[in-house]
Amino acid sequence: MQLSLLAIALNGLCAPLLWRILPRQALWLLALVPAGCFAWFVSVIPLVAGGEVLTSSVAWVPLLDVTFTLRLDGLALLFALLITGIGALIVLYSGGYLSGHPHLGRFYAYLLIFMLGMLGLVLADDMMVMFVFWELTSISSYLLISFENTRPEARRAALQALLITAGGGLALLAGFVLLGIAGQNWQFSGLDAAVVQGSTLFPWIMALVLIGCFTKSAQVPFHIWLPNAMNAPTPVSAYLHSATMVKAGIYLLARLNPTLGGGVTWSSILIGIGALTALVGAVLAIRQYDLKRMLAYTTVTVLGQLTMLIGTNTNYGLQAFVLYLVAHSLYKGALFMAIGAVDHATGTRDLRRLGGLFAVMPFTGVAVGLAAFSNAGLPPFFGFIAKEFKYSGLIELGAIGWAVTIVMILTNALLFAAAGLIFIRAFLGRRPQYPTAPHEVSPFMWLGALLLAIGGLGLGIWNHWPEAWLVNTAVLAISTGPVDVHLYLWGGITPAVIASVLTMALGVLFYLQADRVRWLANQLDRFWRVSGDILWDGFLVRVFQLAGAVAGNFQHGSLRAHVALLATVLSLSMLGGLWLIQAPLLPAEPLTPLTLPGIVGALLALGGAAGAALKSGRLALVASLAASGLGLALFYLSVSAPDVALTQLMVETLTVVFLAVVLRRMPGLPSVASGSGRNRRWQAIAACTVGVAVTLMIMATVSQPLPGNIADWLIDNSLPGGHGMNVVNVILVDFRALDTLGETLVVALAALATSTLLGAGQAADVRPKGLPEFGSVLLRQGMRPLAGIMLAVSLMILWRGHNYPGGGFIGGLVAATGFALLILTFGRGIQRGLGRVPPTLIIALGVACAGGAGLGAILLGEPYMTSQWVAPFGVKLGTPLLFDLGVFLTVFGSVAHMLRNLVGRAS
Amino acid sequence: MNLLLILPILLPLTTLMLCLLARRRLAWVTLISLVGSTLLLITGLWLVWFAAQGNVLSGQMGSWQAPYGISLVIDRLSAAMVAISGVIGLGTLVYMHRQPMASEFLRDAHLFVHGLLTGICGAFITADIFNLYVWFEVLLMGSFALISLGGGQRRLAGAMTYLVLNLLATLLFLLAAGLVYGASGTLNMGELALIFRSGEATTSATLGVTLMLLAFSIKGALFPVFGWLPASYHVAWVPVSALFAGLLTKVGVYALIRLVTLLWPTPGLAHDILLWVACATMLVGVLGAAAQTEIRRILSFHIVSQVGYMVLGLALATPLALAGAVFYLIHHIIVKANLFFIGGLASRLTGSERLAGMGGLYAARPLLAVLFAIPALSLAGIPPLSGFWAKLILIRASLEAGFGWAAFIALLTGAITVLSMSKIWNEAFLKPHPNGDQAVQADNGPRSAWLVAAVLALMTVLLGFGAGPAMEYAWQASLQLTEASAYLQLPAKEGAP
Amino acid sequence: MEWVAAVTAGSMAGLGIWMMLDQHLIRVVLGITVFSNAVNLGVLAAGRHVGEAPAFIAPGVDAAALVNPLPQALVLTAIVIGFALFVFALSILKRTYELHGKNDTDQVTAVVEQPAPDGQENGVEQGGTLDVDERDPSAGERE
Repeated sequence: MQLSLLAIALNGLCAPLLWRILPRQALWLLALVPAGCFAWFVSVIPLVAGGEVLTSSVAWVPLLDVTFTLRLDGLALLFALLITGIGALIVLYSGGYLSGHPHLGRFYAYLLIFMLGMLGLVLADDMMVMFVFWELTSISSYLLISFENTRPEARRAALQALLITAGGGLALLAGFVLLGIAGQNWQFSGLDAAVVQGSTLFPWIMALVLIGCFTKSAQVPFHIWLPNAMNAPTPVSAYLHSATMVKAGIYLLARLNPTLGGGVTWSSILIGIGALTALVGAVLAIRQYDLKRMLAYTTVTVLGQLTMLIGTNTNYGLQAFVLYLVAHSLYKGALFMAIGAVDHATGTRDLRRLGGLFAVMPFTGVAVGLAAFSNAGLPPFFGFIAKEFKYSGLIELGAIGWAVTIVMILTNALLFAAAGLIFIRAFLGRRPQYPTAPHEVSPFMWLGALLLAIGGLGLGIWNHWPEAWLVNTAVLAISTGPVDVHLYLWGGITPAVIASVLTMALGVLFYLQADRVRWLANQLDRFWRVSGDILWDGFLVRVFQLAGAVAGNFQHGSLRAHVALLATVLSLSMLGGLWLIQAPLLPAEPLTPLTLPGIVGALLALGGAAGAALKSGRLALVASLAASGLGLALFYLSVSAPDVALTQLMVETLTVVFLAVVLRRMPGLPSVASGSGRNRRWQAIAACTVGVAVTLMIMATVSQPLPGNIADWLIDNSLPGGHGMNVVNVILVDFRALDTLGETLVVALAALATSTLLGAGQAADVRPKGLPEFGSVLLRQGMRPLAGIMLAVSLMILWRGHNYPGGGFIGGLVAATGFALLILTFGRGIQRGLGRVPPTLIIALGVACAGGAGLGAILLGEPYMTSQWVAPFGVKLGTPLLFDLGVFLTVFGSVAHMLRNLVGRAS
Repeated sequence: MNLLLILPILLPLTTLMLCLLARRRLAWVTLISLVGSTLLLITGLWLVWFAAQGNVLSGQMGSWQAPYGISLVIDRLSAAMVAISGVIGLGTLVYMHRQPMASEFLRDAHLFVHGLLTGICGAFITADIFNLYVWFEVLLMGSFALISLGGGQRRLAGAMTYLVLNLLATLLFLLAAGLVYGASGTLNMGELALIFRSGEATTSATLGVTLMLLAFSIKGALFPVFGWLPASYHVAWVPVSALFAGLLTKVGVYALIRLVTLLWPTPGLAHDILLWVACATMLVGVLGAAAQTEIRRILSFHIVSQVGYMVLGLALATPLALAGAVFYLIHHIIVKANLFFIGGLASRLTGSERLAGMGGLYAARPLLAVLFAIPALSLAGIPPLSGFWAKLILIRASLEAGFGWAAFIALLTGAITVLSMSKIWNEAFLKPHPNGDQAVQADNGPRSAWLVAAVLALMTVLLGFGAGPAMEYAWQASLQLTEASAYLQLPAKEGAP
Repeated sequence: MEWVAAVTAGSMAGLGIWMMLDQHLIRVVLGITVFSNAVNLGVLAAGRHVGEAPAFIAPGVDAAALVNPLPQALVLTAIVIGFALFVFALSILKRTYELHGKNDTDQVTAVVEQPAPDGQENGVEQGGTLDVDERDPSAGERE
């Protein structure tokens, strides 16, 4: 079994290649594999008929209890025979039908992959494996329907089929998962009906599984995709939409009947929907002039009837199901192929333009004739037996059965009429003018149809053969109890026979009055239109409208709206959190006393920020921002954070310089608060709430004492472990050196990014004489020594930093400030002074120093960044100092690089 | 082992430095960069192999013991994330090769990709909150540089939005880190986990963590704060947007997963909120995608919706659901990056990014059609590709946990994903090109780009057929996440000297 | 001092957000700085600044009286990072002004939502040059 799947898969994947290499022989070679599989399945018929079940199993995803289990019982075997047998014929047929098509290889691949999906679907015992194949059929049928991709209708039809069947597939997936959970088993064969039906999940399972099956099998109201799918090339229609794909849902219903069936709900849904589908399909079929569409709608009818038969769950009903399934596959496959041949030969398949073809297309004609008889349910064809059992099965049900039987008689009569129309109108009678001269098609194209049609006749006449070998075991697999199957053509005068006679009489009437019937059906035109495609289109439009509305809320292209949303979410969640946890907001007693410098600093910081928010001139903006930064530095100083204060001071200086350089080129801001008033008010509220939330969060945090002993440990270990008196610096270069490494990397990347953004090469050309604003001679004279002093100081700060305020960051920033002044004043000249060392080199060296400082430890078998110290001549030297040097270089190089880029002009 | 632990950070850092030194010569830069990222990939695979045997690498930087110094921990999830970063990093760099882009930009792109990778890998392996912040900044800076790469009005405008919103998120993270330290007295994730798991966490610590989760949610593009993502990804240079689509939001998701599993191993209020957020993210993201008419915009919105799935797994908090989140993470990174790569190829060939202006690829480039179909079907959750298993495990987990409505939303999202993937397929591939099929470029462009797409597609297929072992790895990783013994032992670990 | 720090940080954060909501990119960029300063202050405040002396170990200094050095180190790191990001934001601002010729946030960011231009290699876009009238008005520069 696994081999058969593998062979077909390989066959499909190799098809395009094979077709390219051997365009003539490919046809035979490709048909050989399904034919071989068919032969194998035939060879195991005796085994399976003897009651044996073949299984094979390979583990796939143990975590989800998914095993690749295949199980060949009577039902699976029946389907497998149809799939591979008709499949082989279809491969041959499509070779004729599409001969010369530029993408025939692709077509074969899709067709064979579809065959793989279908075969796997019926063989799989594991629910998930079955689902895998189920979706494979959806996808490959999508590809097949859209095969003629240049036609918009084909694309639309394919999409429709995909969405309906894949959407149903998702429901089915949920149903399977629930079924597995409820049944504690993921194999169909391991499911216990009592356990499943006793579960609280049972209604859900049933609903979801039914949606899955109904979408796939085109039951009302999901039937709309099937006729549209007739846009596919005819071989596809013959295969997918008669014998296989649409039967997948039917198969699953049958497969799950022992597990889910037996109850009244199950039966009534199946019978109800099935009967409705059958009726709708039949009425729609009789309206058609296009033969292919007519066949499509009769397929819908048959699918409805099959669904209904499973729902009966009676002895005869299930037997009729199996018989009808086989009969329909045979005659519908034959009819589709034959219609394709007619289309191919005459260039039309419009019933009104056809006629008298029998003489020119004898083989096709015989095939159509035989198939149509079977379709019409005339004895001794297999279709007749199926129909007899159908009536018997329904009548067994009692009163409801009678009601449904009447519907059935009606639909069967319509089918009868349709069969008559197809055969008599197209093949007999007068021969009209055709678009192309009609001729008999190649043997490839009539052989399949003829074989299938003869099969329908043969099975009917020698009906003991299918009874013994196929039907019995298949029915056993579906039913809940033992069933005895005995087929017959003539069982005496039974109600079923009477119904049959009635059907034929009615059918003849319908045929003779076809135009009148059509007219009647057209009276309900509005109903047909509403029920079908229009609803679908409206549905899609709705979906896209909804999607557009949703997307519009987030795709306004306004930065401010994004920020406002963020601020709102932020403040709401924080205030909500505060309210939820009811945190105390004020410490029991003030932790640190108020100090004057602290308060001044805070006020200055706030005032500066407010100025930056409200002022409009460029100068005022820069000054406000600077004031704010200075205030912060003052505050840091007042709370014993000299290193932070120094850093803030240097950063603020550089910020101001950079701002000045950039804003120099830009106009001022026209007004303070612009935008529509209403928006602005909301934004103000959002901003205020954020402010309140942040304040409260900090208050809530400091209202309780700081847990942990990290501060004490750091202070205690700074000198003995880190060899430094400045704890902050020791943290930066030793205790948490990895943070600092990352930080230098950020600075370096920012510098490089600035250069990339502002056009690298050109920006490096600072104007030769510095900025005009710095043009004063006096300034120039004073600047040189000042910058020199700053550079010297920066080195000192770097060196002393381990013990006193300072360190690599601050040193680097001081040096960079000095350098900034030099560049602004003297321009490019100063670069020569620096010996043409490109800043990128300094950056690279710096990162190398910082990153490499910790590498030695690894060589010594210690974790990265473990510090190593030596003390030559009483001077303590250690890797943290090297690290700090790296930081210094990186910061210096980066800031210098940034400055050059910002000062430079756009190319 | 000390070396192996730090290699995910050191390798890209060193590569970056060497690239910087070799800056003048594009050929050298390319060589160094490719070698560096290959080594990173090898390291990642080595780590996965190591972690798959149940080992957890951990160490104290600078030998300073745990709550005081910085800890790094590599468990199964971290190892997998490093490996996948290596894959996508290498893929992006190879894809970039010989792309039509000015050589100075190409050169810098290599540099910044490695900067980005340093930050990403750092974020994946650190066990310290402030250190995580620093790595976030590194990757953010790298991403800023990359997103504006190539210039142009649109790109710059996108960069602006991206910059402001991401900066805001990172600053919130910083504030949160400060608050968490102030409320719990530690920055070490292990100790924090101990405090939270023993129920000793103060209310304000919880609040700080909440703020942190919000920051991660912005980074991870969760509803309703994902706005920055669809506003910027589609304007970036193709390889850049692929890299971002694959890796960037996933760092936020990773951080969410890490923190939530560490602090709240059993379901609680946080999980309930996350569940709602996850469902809203899935639905809004996928609807947003359905409304788009440009290939990369569709894909961008799908990132959002897919992130929802991962968070769904996190929110359900059962081991199976977490395993699903982990598997989803890995699967999604490969698939999403690949879709962007292929989208780039497609729009290059057709000369348009708008679906209306595309077409004819089905006939002209069947190979591209196959390459697109694989990740697209995987994204839509079609079996047996990786996305199917990822979705299946989450749906099963939510049904087992009794959240049928969450499963329903996940399935509905899947259905709409099918719709929008088939929309791309219909428009870009099936439909004839609006200017006739001759309008499809004859030149396929650099072969390396195709190679990358093919390899990633192959990985998707392998991950689907080999879902067994991959799922097992994810399962073990999820057990490890909630158990977190490596993290919980951190504070007790003594430093060397 | 705690509440002073908290209120200052909170108010600055609010102001920062308010500035980011401004119509002008310049103020948005400044808003980033203000907000990041607020956050830095908040981190320092949350880590407590209890203690009489800066964290310097010197002979004779009582270790218990020293201030908590950790938040200081964190804030120092954050300040430098913030600066780097600010500079990048500034260069984005500069470049934006050069390319777009305007500083109105919404007008600039709305460009993102325009349909993608066709026929473009995904490399460097055209339009990286300044129009003549947008050049620096100061004449002295070209000497």
